[in-house]
Amino acid sequence: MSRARSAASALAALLGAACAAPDRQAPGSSSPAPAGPAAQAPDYGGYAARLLPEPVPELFRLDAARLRQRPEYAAIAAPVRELVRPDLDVAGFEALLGQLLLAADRIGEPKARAAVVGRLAATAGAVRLASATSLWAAFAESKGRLDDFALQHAADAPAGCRLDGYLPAGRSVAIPFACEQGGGVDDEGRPRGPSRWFAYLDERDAWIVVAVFDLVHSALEANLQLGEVAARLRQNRTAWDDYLRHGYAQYPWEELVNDRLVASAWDSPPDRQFVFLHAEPGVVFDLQHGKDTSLDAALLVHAIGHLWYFGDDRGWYAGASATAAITSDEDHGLGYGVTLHFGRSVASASVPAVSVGLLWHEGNDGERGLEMSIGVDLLRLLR
Amino acid sequence: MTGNRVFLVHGMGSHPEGWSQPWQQAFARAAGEFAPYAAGDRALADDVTFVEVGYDDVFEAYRARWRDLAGALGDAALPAPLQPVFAALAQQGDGVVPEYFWTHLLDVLLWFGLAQAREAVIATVAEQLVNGLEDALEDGARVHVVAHSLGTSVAHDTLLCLTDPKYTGGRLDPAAGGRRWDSLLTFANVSRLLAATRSPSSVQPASAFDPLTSRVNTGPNGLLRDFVVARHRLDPFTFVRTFEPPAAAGLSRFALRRYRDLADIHALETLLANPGVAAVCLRSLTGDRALGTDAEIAAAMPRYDQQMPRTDAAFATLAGALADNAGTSFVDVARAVLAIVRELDGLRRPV
Repeated sequence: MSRARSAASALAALLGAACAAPDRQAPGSSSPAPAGPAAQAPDYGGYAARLLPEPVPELFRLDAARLRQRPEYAAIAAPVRELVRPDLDVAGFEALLGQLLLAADRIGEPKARAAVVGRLAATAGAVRLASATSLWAAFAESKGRLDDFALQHAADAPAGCRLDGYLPAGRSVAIPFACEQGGGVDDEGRPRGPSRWFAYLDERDAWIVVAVFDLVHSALEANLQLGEVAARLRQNRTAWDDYLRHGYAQYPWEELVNDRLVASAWDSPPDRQFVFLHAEPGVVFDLQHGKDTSLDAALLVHAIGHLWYFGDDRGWYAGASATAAITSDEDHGLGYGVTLHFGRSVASASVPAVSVGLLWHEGNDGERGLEMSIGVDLLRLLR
Repeated sequence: MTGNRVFLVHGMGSHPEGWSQPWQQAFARAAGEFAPYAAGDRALADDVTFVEVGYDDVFEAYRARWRDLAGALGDAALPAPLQPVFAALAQQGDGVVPEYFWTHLLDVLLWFGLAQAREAVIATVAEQLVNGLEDALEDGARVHVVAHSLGTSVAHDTLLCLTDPKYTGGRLDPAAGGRRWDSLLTFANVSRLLAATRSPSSVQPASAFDPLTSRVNTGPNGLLRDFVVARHRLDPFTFVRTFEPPAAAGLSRFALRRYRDLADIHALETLLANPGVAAVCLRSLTGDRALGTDAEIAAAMPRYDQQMPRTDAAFATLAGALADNAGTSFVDVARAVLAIVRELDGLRRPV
């Protein structure tokens, strides 16, 4: 708590200073560009490029995530380690930024110091003004960008150079960090030629910049609250699975029809389905001559129909279709009428998908009347 | 856990758990050419953790349903004209329709032709990516996606769809303040050939899914920090509507010529065997921007040339015919499809 208070005080003191960010000259901060090869050094944005020795120091070649174990990084991170955690609130984040402002104020290079301090202060101010309570929501509401705190490629690097830096602004970066001039491979993977590496900050400043930005980035990433997103995506996937795998089965031509006629999106599985020329095994039972007849096996063809799915998981469906029934008894004649479909469309469903129809038939032998059809999704029962 | 999480997105065909072992071995082999892995006291597995992402269960559901339905009706007293239709649908092995139609080409047809299949695949992959991302961020790891063939189109559309605010609320959209994917490495990229004709998103129009202009790039509002596009010049799957994005910072493009066997020309392993391709990919995956010096790459080249001895232009005539053509004419497409069928026939021959 006392740490948070002192950080808040530091933040308040630095907020004003950040705006002006005087071009203070720090010892050793203005290393002139080396002679010789550095004469063509890829200076950038007012920063002088400094030729790096071979092998390239890890600070300038490794990603921040791989530098976290280094003592130089750890020294900067130590005072704020406990503030980089997944349950950070806005006040905690402000406290983190306050501590990092203290570290950033030790950057010797004036432009870099001004840029880092300015961005930290601006972020703290914007997050504080946001109405949201969770860190991610407040950060997003304040128009912050995670990109600001990660190393980025500069699209306007000097010709023949690959330049990485911090604080992107359009095609540029405000703080150039490291640059590889020449080198690279051609489109067949063969080396184009030798390369030289340059840095724009001295090592002391570079460690501060890397650690400060990485700590802010890590704190924000840890508070993205992806657990909630993952849970909703899981339900979305289940709904798709229920519709496609456990819903009312579709023939290829029905897939095409539904694909064209039913609205859907990756995050919005279909909530209805057309039935079209759908053949299904079943039985028919003559309602008006029930004493003399038994169940007749039949091929039920649902000519056209429509189903609705219910629930966020698309776990139930119901609907109706126009049906024709063909039995093996040629004298029975064609039956036609309406079928109601209903079923549970989840993997664990014990209730089978059932289709119950009321049909009219006219037999060749003069027998006519109402009959009931029952179609069962045998495939579901057998699985 | 390591500091880098790499999601592997497969291409067409069936991919049971463990399918990515050859890919992982190819990456480990490639890393062995460069310091610090060449010395043997450090392994790629110390820096990178691979995670398989699967979606073939969606296509399998279609395949199984059609076969089951047809099979169940097989014994029914069907009218004679319908019997061949259901018999063809129910077939299990080679018959009227070659088996590789069911096991490979159907995946592509479903992805390209059925919007619902595409959307279901995206929902499946999105869920796996975000689950994995959550784990990775808990460990403070960087997150990468490696995709091959059909998987390149799947990865492209999924990364775009994950910018939709409905579920992610901008967390995976840099323009809304969210995070970028640290890299996307694509091998035999067919995302342009299989680009969506109907948007799988309820927010973004179909035009947003054109891979050449989409936000799956390294630009200011792009979704990626690094992007690798590697293909073989003789790979028939990338002849038509070749994905050739314009040069950009953070983008590396490769078009290779060497191979060992035509049957392997589409494979990720063939492309990754190139030391230059491997170095660039490993730089992204490990976060070491200087991994693979010129000297190391040059030293590995003779081994590569020996391992991939052929530059024979088996498809050069066809490739040349299509090279100066946008590939949109029916004749060109038909010729390319024929080449693909021949290629698949080659795949079916025992090596």
